[in-house]
Order: sequence, then structure tokens, then C-alpha cells
Amino acid sequence: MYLYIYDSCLKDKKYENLLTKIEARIIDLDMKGEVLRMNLLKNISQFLKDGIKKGAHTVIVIGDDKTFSTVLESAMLENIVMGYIPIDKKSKFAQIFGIPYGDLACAIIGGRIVEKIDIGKINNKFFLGSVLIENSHNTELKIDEFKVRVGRGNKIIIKNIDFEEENFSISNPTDGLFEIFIEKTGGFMSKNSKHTLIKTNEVMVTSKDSSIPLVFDDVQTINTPAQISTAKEKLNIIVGSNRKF
Amino acid sequence: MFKKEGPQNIKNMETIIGESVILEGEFNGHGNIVIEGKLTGNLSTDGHVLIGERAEITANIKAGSAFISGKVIGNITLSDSIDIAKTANIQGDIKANSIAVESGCQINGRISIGSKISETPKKILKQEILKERGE
Repeated sequence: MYLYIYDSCLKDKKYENLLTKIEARIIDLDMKGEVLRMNLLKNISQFLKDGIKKGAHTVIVIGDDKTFSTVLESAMLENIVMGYIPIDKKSKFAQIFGIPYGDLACAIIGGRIVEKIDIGKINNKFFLGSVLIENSHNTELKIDEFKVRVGRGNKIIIKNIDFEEENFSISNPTDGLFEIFIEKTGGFMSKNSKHTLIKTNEVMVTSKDSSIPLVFDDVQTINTPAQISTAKEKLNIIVGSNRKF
Repeated sequence: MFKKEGPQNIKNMETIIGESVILEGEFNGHGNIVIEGKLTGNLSTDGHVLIGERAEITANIKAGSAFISGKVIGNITLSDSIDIAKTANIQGDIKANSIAVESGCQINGRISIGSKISETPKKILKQEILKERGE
């Protein structure tokens, strides 16, 4: 049995046709299950717990990367396989997992190739993509036996998985490591200044003067100090043959 | 012969320390490392180390090989080769299997190449430079 979590935006008329096609394909492939339409009052964890008791083995997120990240926390705690039907053609996660847009994703879900991939933890919360510090402010990164001091006017991105089409580069989601990118954002020298790249599996982020926000997966925010590490748990995710890893 | 292995090879590097950051402590990396910023402490890797022109290193360096074009205060120990660019300023001892030096660099320390240990680094350097020029 499958559990389906619909993003709240799917109520919008512009998604009506797409959702009809997706639901028709789900019926064709005999992948029926229970549906939760997200809103502030619905408890995703409880929905998953109840579903698992009834024999559910997979939760399918129908939405965009933010929807996927929102469901991730509960899915990790319940240790259930995740699938993704993207309704955003530019979805980074879908590109990485090799999942096509809309109803075409249903065949991939039915094919059920499951990969185990790395998940990040930030102060005991899970994240899949990246953690962003938009504007560093006397920030310090403690990694192993050394410290990296980053002054003002730098952007710090701690990537678990990412895919940049321009450079055809991917942060490998199965190597157990993060990639920490630091790049200068302001000043006339910023274009010529080389970025910093460090790979690690654990970093402590602190800020000397005041607490600064860290945004993870474009969804949630945590303030410094923040402990970021690769989680012991892995995400079981359904992928397509065109996956990037 | 001196190789101009400048930052154009940056894509193959596994760790890059850019100009905008300062690194302090024991940096034990793996693979190839580029340093364009400031580093204080110790640096070790099994791969290649590239010290950029604007880099300021106050650390002992242990690596497979190195290309130095910035400032290093500390001893450099390499299992393979070292290339020193004309912009380099090294204040410390160098141990390596082979050395290539570009005219104009500054070195203040003892140089040990292969099994040879020089008490007069200027002499060895002069010999290396003449050898490179084929004189």
C-alpha cells in the first residue's frame, strides 16, 4: 500500500489537469493508497504512523522540492521508503533522482528501484539538499582539528546533494560527505575571487558577534550555533535509471 | 624543468581554500589541495598542494608534491617534487625528491633534494638553475 502526500498548492486550478493525469496513471499501475492533502492542521507523522500500521511501505510526495523536504523529517523518523512525483519541471531533487515531471514519474515509482542516500542533520533535524548562510558575519566553521574563519560578505553553502546543470557537477549523495562552498558575494573583487571548497562529514557553525540564520532545504531556519553532520540513517528513495549518481 | 602548474588546474582539486577565508589548526586533507587564502598551523595531505600567489602560509607542509607561488613560513616536506614560482617567498627548510625553481623566487632555508642535504642552499639552487638552463 502507498501513502500519498499532496502539496497544498495542488488545490489550485492550474494543476487540475496534471493531477487528473497523475491519478489516472496511479490507478492504471495499480498503485492505489491513502491520500493526505497538506495543510497546517494535518499531522504528517501521524498519517505515516497510521499508514504503516495498515501495511503501507512507501510514501509518495506529489509537489515540489520544498514539499519533499517538509515530508522528509517524518519519513526518516518512520523509516519508510520515499517516492517523488514532481510538479515543478525545474526540480533539482527530481533531476538528481532521475524522475521525470508529472504523470511520467508514476512509471518510475512502479519500477521501484530503491537507493540508499546520505541525509544531513542540523541540530537533530534532517535535511536532504543544502544549508545556506546567505551573508556570513564573522562566522567560524570548526571541522576536525581546524577552524575556518569567514568574514563578512561571504555566502556559505553546505551541500549534501546538489546538481548544477551549468557545470554538470553533482555533490555525490552516497559518499558520506558534505561539500562546503564559500564564495564572496560583495565588492569589486568578488568575481575574480576563488571560492572555497572543503569536504567533511561534520562541521560546527558559530558566529562571533551575533546569532545568524541558517536556512536548510529552502524551507526551515535555525540560528547559530549549529552542528551539521551526516546522519547515520540513510534515506531509502525510489530512483530512475537517469539518476545523476 | 619548471612547470607552470598554476590555478588553471583548480577543477581537479578536492579542497580549495579561497582568498576570503582564514584557516587555523591542523589541516589533514586527502587528495589535492589549493590554498589561495591564509593558513596557520600545519598542513598535510597525500596529494598535490598548490599555494597561490596571494596565499600566506605559516605552517609546516607535508604532501606528495607542491607548487608554491605564495608566501610560506615553515618547513616543506614532500615525497615527490616541488615547483617554486618566481613570486614564491619561502622561509623554511625544503625536503623533496626533485626541485624546479623559477628565477626570482626567495628561499631562506636548507634544501634537501633526494638523498643530498645542502648546507649551502644557494649553491644547490644555482646548480639546479644552471642545469635547467642546460649550462
